[in-house]
Parts: sequence; structure tokens; C-alpha cells
Amino acid sequence: MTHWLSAHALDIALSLSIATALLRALSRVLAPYPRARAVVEAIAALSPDVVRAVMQLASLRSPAVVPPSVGPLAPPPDQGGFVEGGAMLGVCVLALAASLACSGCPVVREIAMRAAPGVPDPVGCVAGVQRCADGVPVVCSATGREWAALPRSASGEQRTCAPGVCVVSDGVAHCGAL
Amino acid sequence: MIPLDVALRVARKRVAAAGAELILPDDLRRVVVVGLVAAAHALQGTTVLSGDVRERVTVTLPGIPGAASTLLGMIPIVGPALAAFGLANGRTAVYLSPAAMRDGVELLATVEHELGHVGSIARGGLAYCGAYLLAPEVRAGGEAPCYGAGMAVRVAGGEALADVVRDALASLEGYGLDAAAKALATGIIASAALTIRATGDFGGIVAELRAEGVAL
Repeated sequence: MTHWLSAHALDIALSLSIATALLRALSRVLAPYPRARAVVEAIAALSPDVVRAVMQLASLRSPAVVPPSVGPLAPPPDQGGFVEGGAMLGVCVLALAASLACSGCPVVREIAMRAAPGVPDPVGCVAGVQRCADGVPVVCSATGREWAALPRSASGEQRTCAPGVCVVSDGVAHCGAL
Repeated sequence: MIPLDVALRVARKRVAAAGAELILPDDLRRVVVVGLVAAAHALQGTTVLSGDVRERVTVTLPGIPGAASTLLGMIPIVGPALAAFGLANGRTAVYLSPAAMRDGVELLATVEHELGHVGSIARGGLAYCGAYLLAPEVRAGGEAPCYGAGMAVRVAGGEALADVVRDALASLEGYGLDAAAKALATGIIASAALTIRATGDFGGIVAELRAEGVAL
């Protein structure tokens, strides 16, 4: 397949150029419709990735070609620490993917919970036990965190039982009327 | 019975007051979100199907601010679309499902549920959202009180408490909770049920809706 791609490189490039020009023209036509235009531009942005993926797959099926040695590359003298934006983003995406893959790992979950504002800190309570804390019914989780049984208001403040009171009945904490 | 147009007016007002945006089911931006949510459910191995997501799932997503927005736009393939579809406008948005528009009570119950998430995002930001994705405990502790909010509105709208408790517990099955997280969610729903039965409210949500002129 690599041979075919090499032999038809000019045709492929010409086809892609025509397709790109058509998509750009279509994008201009759709200028008054920003969402439809975004779809077209997303397709245009996708095409180089598709071609690159096809080339990479093809190269996997072909014998490896060893390039001539050119010696170690020296870093650009005045750009110490330069990192290509795409590479950095790739690292971030890989890190996120790794985190999601490890979402079953207790350590990863614990780190994520401790880093998140709004997730209660562990207080060493007994799982399943309910009580009232500052006028809010709370329920203890398996990791020893006391989760509020009332939601936050839209502004982010914890709702409370006020003007009622928080009480515990048969082991269940809840709001009651005054 | 609350007319749908009255409920929608109140919903818009309350969501706007929270600095968030209410996206209706026929908005094109929801199409993108449905795809993302369906993919997330597939990755997490939940029992929720993409058809359910399209028809029944209302979701709240955080806005992506500043530099993160630039990075979002750089993501290959989907980045430009995500940015163009307004997910990166920096505002939290509530994407309503068609099912949420069934009637006025359903709409207000759904929006009050989502306003709880808006509050969690306002408090915890993207770090909270990351923890929500990673930890079943955060999903349980974040979702169950929001289901309590919806339960309170439904009961105030005339539904039986036992029915709304059963529906909430069934819905919580769709969040990929492990046994410990299910126990937490069940405990919170039990607390919510007693609160609603004792007060007819849930932390003031029903009172706030009545103050808006909603006949609950």
C-alpha cells in the first residue's frame, strides 16, 4: 500500500487540495450559519489526521526503512525548553486518558477527591452513619467522608434545613419543621 | 398543573440568575453534548444507551474558561467543533432533554436538579468535574442530593413520595456506582424522603419556586 501511496502522491495531494478548496468555499457560503460552518471546518480539520493515520497504518504493514545517520541533533541554541504546543497537548490528553483508565484505582480516585473543592475531606466517620452537621443532614461514605444530603444552591452555597431544624430519626438524619 | 411556558420562564430566570445558560432540546449544541455523554457512558460501562441519552438525559456541563478554552480548540478533530459549538464560552450550561419538556412540573424538577450541579461546579470548578468522572463516590454524593431536589418539586406538584423515591433510585443505577457509592446514594435518598415528608420542601427549593409565582 505504501508503494501505491508513493506512486500516487501527486494525485492524492491534488485531490486533497481540491477537497480543501471546496470545503473552504462551502465554509464561506455557510458564513451566516456559524454552527453549520463549524461542522464543515471540523471535517476539513479532520482530513489531515485521517491521511496521517492511513499512512501510519500503511507503514506498519511495510518493512522498516532505516534512514541514514545524521548524528545527534543539537537543540536550538536560543530556544531552551521549547515544547511544541501539539506535543504538550498530546501529553495532557495522554495524562487524562491514563487517569480515566486508572479510574478504578483507589489511589487515583483519592487524589482526585482530595484535589477537588466541594468534595468533603475524610473525617474518619463510620460508613452509613448519618448525623446533623451545622444544620445539614450528612451521610458517611465508605471513605469516611460526610456528604451533605441537601444540594448546593445554584451559587455554590450549601443549603441547610433553615428555617427548619435537622433531626435524626431511627438513624436517618433529615430536616424537620420547627 | 403548571403550564409549560410558565415553567420555562421560571427555569430561564433561575438558571440565568445562577450565571448559567439553559440550552433547549432542539438546540444544535445539544447534539454535540449527546455524543459526548453517550461516549462517556460507553467508556464507563454504564447501562445507559445512546438513545436514552438523546431522549431522556439532561446534563450540566461546565464552561471552559481562558487558556483551557484555547487548549480545547487545539484538540485534534473535535476541538474546533467543541469550541465553535459554544462549549468554551466560559459559562456553565444546562442541556435539557426532550423528556424534561414533558410538562411544567417535570421541567422545574429537572432544572432544580441541574441547579444543584451548577452550584457544585460553582464551588468546585473543573477539579470537581474531574473527580466526578473518576470517583463513583463523588457521583453518588453529587447526584443523590440533586435527585432529592427533583423529588421535592414532583411531590409538591402532586406525585406520591414513594413513586418519586423509586424513580430516583432507579435513575441512580445509571451512574456506574459501585456498592459503596450505591449505599451512600441510598442513604442520601432516604434522608431526602424524610425531609420532604416532614417539611414539604428540600432546603427551601419549593419555597423559592412558590416565590417565583409557581403554583406548587
